[in-house]
Amino acid sequence: MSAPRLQVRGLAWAIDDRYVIRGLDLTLHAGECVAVTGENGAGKSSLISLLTGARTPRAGSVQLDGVPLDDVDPGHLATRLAHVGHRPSLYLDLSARENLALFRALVGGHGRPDDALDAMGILPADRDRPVRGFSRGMQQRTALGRLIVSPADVWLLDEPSTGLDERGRSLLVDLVRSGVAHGVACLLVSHDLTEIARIGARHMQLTRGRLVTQGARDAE
Amino acid sequence: MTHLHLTWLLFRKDLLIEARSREIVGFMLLFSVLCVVIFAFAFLTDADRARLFLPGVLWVTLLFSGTVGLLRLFAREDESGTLGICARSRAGALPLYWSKVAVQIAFSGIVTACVTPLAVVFFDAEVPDVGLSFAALALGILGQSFVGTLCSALLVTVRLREVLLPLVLYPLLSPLFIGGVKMTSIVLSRTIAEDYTAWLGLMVAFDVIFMVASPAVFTRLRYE
Amino acid sequence: MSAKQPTDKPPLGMLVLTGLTFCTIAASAWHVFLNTPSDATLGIVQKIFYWHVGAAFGMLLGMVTASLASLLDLVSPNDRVDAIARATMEVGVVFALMVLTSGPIWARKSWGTYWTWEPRLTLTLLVLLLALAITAIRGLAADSESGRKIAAALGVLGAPAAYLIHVAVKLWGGTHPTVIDGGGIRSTEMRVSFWLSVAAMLLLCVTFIVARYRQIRIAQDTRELRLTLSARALEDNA
Repeated sequence: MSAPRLQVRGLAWAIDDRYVIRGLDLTLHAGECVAVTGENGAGKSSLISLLTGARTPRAGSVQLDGVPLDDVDPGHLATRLAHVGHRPSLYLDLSARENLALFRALVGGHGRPDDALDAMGILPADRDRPVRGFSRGMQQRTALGRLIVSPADVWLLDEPSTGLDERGRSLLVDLVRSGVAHGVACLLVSHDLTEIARIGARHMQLTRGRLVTQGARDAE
Repeated sequence: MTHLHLTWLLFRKDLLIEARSREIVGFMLLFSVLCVVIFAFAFLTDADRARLFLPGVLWVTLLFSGTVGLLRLFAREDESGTLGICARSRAGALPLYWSKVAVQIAFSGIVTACVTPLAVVFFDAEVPDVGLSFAALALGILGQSFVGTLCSALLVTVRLREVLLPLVLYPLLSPLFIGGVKMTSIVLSRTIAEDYTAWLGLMVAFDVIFMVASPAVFTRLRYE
Repeated sequence: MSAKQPTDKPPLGMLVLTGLTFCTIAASAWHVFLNTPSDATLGIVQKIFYWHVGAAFGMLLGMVTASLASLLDLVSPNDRVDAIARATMEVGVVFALMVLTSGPIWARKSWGTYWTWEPRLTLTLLVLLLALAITAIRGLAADSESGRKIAAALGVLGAPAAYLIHVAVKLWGGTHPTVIDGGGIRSTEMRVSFWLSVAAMLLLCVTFIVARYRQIRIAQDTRELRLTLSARALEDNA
């Protein structure tokens, strides 16, 4: 198996005096995509927050290339982890191109924003007007363009297909497959089984605080 | 150099957004003018002593309008969900802090520059030493920006942050405020008789201490 | 988690501390009222001085410890340290209120006015306002991680701020009459009363802090217990 990028051991997280994640183990390798499904309130979004370092777990450890997240320099972490959630997280008064250019500069990325916007199906005519005028789906596509300009080799995606139409979902699948083919380690939180199948991701379910392998694929 | 470059990019971004949306400066300005007018109604009952009130009026207006700006500083990031993105740059979270401080200084500076002459006119005062007046106001704006940016960031996720920010900020800023009013009133008096250096020193010390302490605390916070 | 089994009786150390505090307060009250002559001009109200200064010491103890504990918690988060920071700040607030009620009573009698903007009382007032704001934020954030971090950050900032406030109000209110100065202590009896009262107030402060700390720790332990129960529930459902 290829190099493990993100190693999670014994992760624990509680909300309101109740564990939602407990004894969770996961290893994310380069060039693979792990899809996580689960019921509402199962803790999927909390898991993503813990992996980005936004929250500190109650117990357990998250390691990037063998180094605990807390010990990683925050600036370096920003260039290794990319996160796209169900909210576009864009500056509504800036254009799509300006948003991506700013993001690319912040994380020391590569590539032209125009190429990323090409890949996400944003027409050239639309790239210069404020994103406030975009539909929800176009905003989400622009946000996904961040993954293309980012130097990160670990992608954490939290229901990224929210608001996307059929074409947008198709572009997302292509994006993830392409990234994985280039060695990205991807964690995808989703409730869309078709999407998971099309990406060819290893499917795991978050139940009772842990990740359990689903489907016919062999466990790691 | 990366730090500086990223700080500049974020600062420019905020200026660009402000130029397009005009959400902050205009309202700060309007609010400040209103403050001065209300204070005029409150204190201009005695024409002879009117100019004695000018320092207090100026500084209260600076404090209140500055608070309006500080609240918007991070509120917009929170609303658009971009706080996490700015806080995670390849140079860490410091470019975000310094860019926001720069934005606050810029906006407060603009508002103060517009409102001060107006207040001077309303309260029929004269300004014998413009340089020192400028220095006092500049030190006040700097200190308020250093401390206020941190407090605004601290409270961004808390309910009732509009109410809590003044509660937290005003006690912290009180030395700056006291010093500012005193120094401005000394400077505005015809003869600069009293020694203003103690107050100047206090304000400089305040700014230096919080210029160091605030970013240090800022980097220990986590952003979603 | 606490290793001791919870019982109804407080531990021996707590009983001893409370007893000692009680005795010291009683001793100081007896000495102040029965053994010390009243001030010629101010009468019996002067005696408030003894406890006022003690309360100020108590406030100082509370606030300084809170600030240090906040710094420690910010650098390396720890439940015990957080509990200390909370307990000491809250008790500091209580003692600040004592200072701010006893001060004006004295001021009224000796200066004819309740509030003179004297430096020390003004500093106490501002520190109290900040501490109350921090306590309010903690209450709103409901024991969450962010509430704790905010309180810790502000507790740390409060220290240099308090120093600067002290300098500022001293410069500003220097000409305002000092409400309570130490110039009145002449005789040995007064000195004994003074130190007894200071000791009594400090002991009271420590007793409050320890009691509140234990209370917070029990709440933290209860939370741990609930978490453990929920963990079992997660496993049992397998």
